[in-house]
Amino acid sequence: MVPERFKWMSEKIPFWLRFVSPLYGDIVLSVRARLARNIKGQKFPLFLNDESRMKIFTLIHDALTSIKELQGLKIYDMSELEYLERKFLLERHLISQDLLKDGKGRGVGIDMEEKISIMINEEDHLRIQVFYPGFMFEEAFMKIMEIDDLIGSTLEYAYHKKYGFLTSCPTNTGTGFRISCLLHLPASVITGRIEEIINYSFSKDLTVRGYYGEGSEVLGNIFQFASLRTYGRSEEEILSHFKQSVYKIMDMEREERDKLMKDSKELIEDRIARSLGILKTAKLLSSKEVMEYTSHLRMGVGLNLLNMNIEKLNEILLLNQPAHIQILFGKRMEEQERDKFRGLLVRTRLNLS
Amino acid sequence: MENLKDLCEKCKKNAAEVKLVLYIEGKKKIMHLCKVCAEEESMGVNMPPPSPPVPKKKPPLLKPEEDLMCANCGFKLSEFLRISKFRCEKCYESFEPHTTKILSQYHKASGHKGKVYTGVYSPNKEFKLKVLKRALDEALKREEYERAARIRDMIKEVEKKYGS
Ligand SMILES: [Zn+2]
Ligand SMILES: [Zn+2]
Repeated sequence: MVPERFKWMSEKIPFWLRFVSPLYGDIVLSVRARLARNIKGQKFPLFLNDESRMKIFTLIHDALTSIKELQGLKIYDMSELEYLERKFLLERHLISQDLLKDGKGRGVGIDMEEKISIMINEEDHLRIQVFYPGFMFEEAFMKIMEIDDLIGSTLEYAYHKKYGFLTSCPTNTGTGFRISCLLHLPASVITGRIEEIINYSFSKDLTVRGYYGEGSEVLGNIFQFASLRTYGRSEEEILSHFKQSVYKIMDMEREERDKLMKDSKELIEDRIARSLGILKTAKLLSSKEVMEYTSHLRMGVGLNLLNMNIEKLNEILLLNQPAHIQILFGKRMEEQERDKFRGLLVRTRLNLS
Repeated sequence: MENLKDLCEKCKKNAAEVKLVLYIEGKKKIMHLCKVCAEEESMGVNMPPPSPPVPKKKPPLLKPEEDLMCANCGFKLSEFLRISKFRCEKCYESFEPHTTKILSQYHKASGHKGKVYTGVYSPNKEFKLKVLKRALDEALKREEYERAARIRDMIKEVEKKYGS
C-alpha cells in the first residue's frame, strides 16, 4: 500500500508553478530565495546527536507554531515519513537530499500553497525557503524577509556584529541569503550559445546546475542559476546583482530564439508538432522523453507557434516524476510500470482541454 | 568483437543509454548513464542550491602548538581547516585570524553588510519601499508594464499595512 498522507498535495499544483505572464513564463520557470539561520547557544546540526537534535526540533516546532502569521504551516518529522514520501517532498523541492536520508529530529514546515518550506536541522538549524513563479523576485524577497523577521523575534539567532548570521559552512556566513531561479533555455542549447551563457554566469559569481544531452539528446533544457556569495554584500545588493544577470541571460536566449525563427522555422515547427503527437498518443513514456518533448512545447508557446496553457506543461513536469506517479495512482511501481502510467497521465492531461 | 556497451557511470549495473552534459558548481562534466540514473540525476537541477564547497587549498600546516581549540565546544582549528565546517557559533572567534582570512578569501569581501539582527520585530518599512521602488524603475525601463503594475500594488500594500 502507498501511504495516503500526501495524496491531497499530489492532486494540486503548487503556487510556484502557476503561469505568470507570456513575458517570462516561457523562460523563467520559478524563483527561490533561501536564508540559513541558527539558534544561539546550540551546536550546529551536523555535530548533534539524535537526542539534542530532537530537542532543537521541538524548540523550533513550538516557536513556529506560536507565530500567528505562520499558522498554516504543517510540520513533518522526517523520521515519521516513509522513503517514498520523502522522495515525494524532494520532487516538489520542499526538502533537500540531506533530509531524504532518515534522521531523527530533522523535518520540514510547509504551508498549503507551498510558498514556504522551512527545513529544520539540515546543515543549519533553519533553512527558510520561499518559492514563486516566473519573474516574481520581489515577491519572494519580501516574503522571506518577513518570515525571517517573525522567526527571528521569536527565537534568538546566532549572530555576530562582524560576521553577520553565523552558519555551519563559511560559504553561507553573513546574510545567509541565496537567490536562485530555474531557467528554460532550449534555443541556446540548440545553437550552442549555452557555453557562453555559462561562462558569463561564472564571471558574474553565479553557480549553474544544469543537465542536457549532447547532439540529439535533450533533457528538458532547464538550468538552475544561483547567487554564490553571502558575505560583505547586502541582501538587496545580492538580489539586484542577480536579477541583472538573469535579464542578460534571458536576452541571450531571446536572441537565439529569434535566430532560429529566421533560419529554421520549419525545423522548429516540426519538432513541436512531433513532440505534441508523441505526448498525446504514446503508451509508454520515460521521464527523459517527457522532459524533452515538453521543453519543445514550452518553447513553441514562447514563440507563438503553439497555443497551449503553460501551467499544463508545468503540471506535467511535476507529476511525471517517479514518486509522484506512485502516490497519484496509489500504487508502488518499478520503472517499466511507471512508464505505462506516465504515458496514461500525460495523454489524459494533454487531451483534456 | 563488437564493442561492449559501456556501463552506467553511476550504478555501474545497467547499460549507459543517455549521455548527459552537466554543470555542477562551476564544472562541466559529461556522464554516461542508464535511464534510471539519468532520471535521478536530472532531478538534481531542482534541488535547493547546496552550500558551495570551499575551494580546496592545502590547509596550512599547523604545528601542534599552533593548533587552536574552541573553548565552547572543543572543536580544533586543524579539524575545521580539514572539513570547512564550524561546529558552534563560538568557533568563529576562537579560530581567528583564520576565520577572517577564509571569509574574505572566499567571498572577496570583508565584514558583514546587510540585515542587522536585533531580535526585536520591526516591519522595516523604509527598506521594503526602497527595494520595491528600485524594482519598479527597472520594470518601467524594460517596458514590462505588467510587472510594474504588480510592484505598484506591492508598494501600496506596504504603505497600507505599515501606515504612511
Ligand atoms: Zn545507472
Ligand atoms: Zn565551537
